[in-house]
Amino acid sequence: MTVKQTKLAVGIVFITLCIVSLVVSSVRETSMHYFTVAELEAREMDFVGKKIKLAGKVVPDSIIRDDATLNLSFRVWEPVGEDAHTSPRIVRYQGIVPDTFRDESEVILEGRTLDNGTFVAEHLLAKCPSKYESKSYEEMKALHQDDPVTKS
Amino acid sequence: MPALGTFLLYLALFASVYAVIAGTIAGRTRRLDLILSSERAITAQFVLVAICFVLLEYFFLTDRFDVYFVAKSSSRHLPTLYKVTALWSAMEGSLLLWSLVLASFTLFAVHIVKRRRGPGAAYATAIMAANQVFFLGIILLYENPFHLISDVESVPVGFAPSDGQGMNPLLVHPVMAIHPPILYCGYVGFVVPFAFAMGALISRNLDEEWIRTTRRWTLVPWFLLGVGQLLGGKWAYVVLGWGGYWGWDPVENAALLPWLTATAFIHSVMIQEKKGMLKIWNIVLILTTYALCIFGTFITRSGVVSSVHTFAQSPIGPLFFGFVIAILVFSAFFLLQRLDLLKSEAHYDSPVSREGGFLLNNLLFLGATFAVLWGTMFPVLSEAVTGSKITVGPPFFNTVMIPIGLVLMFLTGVGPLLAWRKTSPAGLKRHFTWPSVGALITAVACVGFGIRDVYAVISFALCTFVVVTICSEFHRGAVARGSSSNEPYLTALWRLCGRNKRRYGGYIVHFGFVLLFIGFTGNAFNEMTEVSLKKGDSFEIRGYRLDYEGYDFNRGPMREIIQTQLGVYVGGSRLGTLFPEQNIYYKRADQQRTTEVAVRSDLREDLYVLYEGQSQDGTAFFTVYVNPLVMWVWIGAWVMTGGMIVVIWPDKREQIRRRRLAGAPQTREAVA
Repeated sequence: MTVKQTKLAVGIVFITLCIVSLVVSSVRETSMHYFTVAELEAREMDFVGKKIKLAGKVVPDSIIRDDATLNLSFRVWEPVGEDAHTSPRIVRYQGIVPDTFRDESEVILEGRTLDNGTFVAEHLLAKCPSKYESKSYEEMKALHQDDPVTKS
Repeated sequence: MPALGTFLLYLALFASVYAVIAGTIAGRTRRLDLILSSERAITAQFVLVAICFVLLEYFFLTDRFDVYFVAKSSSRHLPTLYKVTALWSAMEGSLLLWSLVLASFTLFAVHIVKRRRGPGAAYATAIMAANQVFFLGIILLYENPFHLISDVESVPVGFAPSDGQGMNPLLVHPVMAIHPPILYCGYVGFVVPFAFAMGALISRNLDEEWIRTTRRWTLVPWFLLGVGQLLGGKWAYVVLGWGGYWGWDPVENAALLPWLTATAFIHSVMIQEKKGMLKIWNIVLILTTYALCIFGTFITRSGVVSSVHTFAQSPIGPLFFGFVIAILVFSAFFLLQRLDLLKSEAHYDSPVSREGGFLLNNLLFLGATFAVLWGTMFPVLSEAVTGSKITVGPPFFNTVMIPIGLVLMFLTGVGPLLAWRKTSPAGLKRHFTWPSVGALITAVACVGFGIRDVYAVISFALCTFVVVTICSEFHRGAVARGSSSNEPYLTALWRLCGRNKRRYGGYIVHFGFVLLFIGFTGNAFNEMTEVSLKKGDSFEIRGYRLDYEGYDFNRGPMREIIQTQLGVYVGGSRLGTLFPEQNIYYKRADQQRTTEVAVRSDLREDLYVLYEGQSQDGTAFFTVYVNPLVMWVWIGAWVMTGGMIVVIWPDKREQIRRRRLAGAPQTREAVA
């Protein structure tokens, strides 16, 4: 190896290390644990007061909103299936919610759990219960059940 | 009729399988008849897939709701244009479009290299056909768009509902009509450089020819992938209504990853063309790019990483993952086998040289790719290693990508002016005095105007630096040409660009990139607020005053529209009126709502208003954003497009020169 090549190799290694350390330190500063409602329940004690992401499904008829103050409270439970073993968790949020937010929406919340178990969300993301792609044929039938069935 | 579609798809599959076999044997034996035969098979599969595509479009246009895919993606009331685009609004049709794009690229590539047939091209044909086999196989096994409802559900044969379920209203938008096809052309287009690189490796024909072919075939998909992403951003900005155009979502990152490695490739390929260096590196880049294209499809379609974009998920996810692994293993095997043929012809001399600049450029692009990949896959990796899912979001990507982006912007200015091998200190001084002065003045001016965001100040300073270097390059070239040929300045400038399309077109692309960067930097000054207003109320944001003047309610055949009206004032004078809307699609089972954003754009900033609904007592809720400099993102995209057209515009003199070199006077190839 010539001196030039050694210098080159050192340069490349140095720059690579810079980028890797930038990535590693940024992960450390900005990462958050991500739980579903049941997972958080299992590890509740370790994460009280820490900023986490929580994924859940809005419990039907649980949304209470105060339009004057934009205060919102609702309950979420396990997003996968309606797992009877997880008790719904109360969530509080202040702000305008997207139009995709409603009963049965899957939500991803960012915020902290209080000592009493209430989750105070700072950010709220709601996935529409329907997908970009449309749903099953059953729903189509439900939608058009009044229409006469035509044959082609 | 729909059964005909399935039948034709099977025929296309057989034609592709045949092209794989014939191409491979032709590559090994160099038999001309087999090469010709594989080319005919490529033509056949293209024709067959094209007929299938037209047939499916016909079903959409004629409302054939006995076809399951048509019934669930279209409806009678959809405007004709959107009946056409509904084909790619869901998985099955997307895959068929993907397959058609692949077939077209393959056909085009095979016909263009016809005049230079050889084992490398034969293997490349086989590899492109193998990709088609994969896609057609998936369509036929899992996602056949020609299935009847009676094939999928337990209803009588021939059953057809009276109306289809309709396209998701979010997708009914002109940008969404062209975003998927352009993005697919970008993704799929990389199959051609990949196949030619592999063909060259397998056939051991690693002379200069393959790298030229590959480079040319990389530019177009690179450009389309970039434009496709910007269109996606535009759609998110005006339709999804969260106030931004880029959110570092896994789906967005999936398209960014191959774009980053391809950008690295189109830069480092110049070192190989000029100096015969970095051959292995370039092959690795092009292989990685294609693998990342398929990996991106895997991310978007498998649901392995949770995303706000809920694309349909389906069992084909793991197949795509398997395909990525297969591509990596296959290409790594041949790369290792042929390493001895890829020796470098020159040595690296000095860090302050064009080579050094390109090397740093490549390291940074690869670093950016790694960072984006790491951030995207981090939840999956952390769950596999520690058992608990840890996510990173936009803050992570911004912390990492802003510094990398700024250094790249600096290189955009410096790189093109560095001499090959070694740049003298005098040369550095000559080239960089004025750009540095410009950057300093900008930085001081920014601070003087009260900008305190360090990154923003650096970014604006670097943008000035790059613009001055680009202008001085055009100026210097025009002056030199003018003095030697006695042409007037503007004529000299025009001819200069015409004679060096690659170089000056490249500068225009760089300039477009600077404009994009100015737009991105605007994000540092975004402001957002949520307000609730009663009729007659007003509020102020950044010097604008908005008066809520009431709303209109309309019930149409498909949706209810609530249109609000806001008067916009600056300093007491009325600038205009904004009409943010909310639509409720009451006929859909899910009662989907969409918001229609109202945006007032000028070169300085966007005033972006969302109507979010209202309470019982008539208080309306609005989210208002002021997003500075957003328009420069779209202007930058147009400038980049212009630059790309200059770069790829066929050059007659170049063709003649190459024909002479190739010693084939009859060649009639088009230069991509």
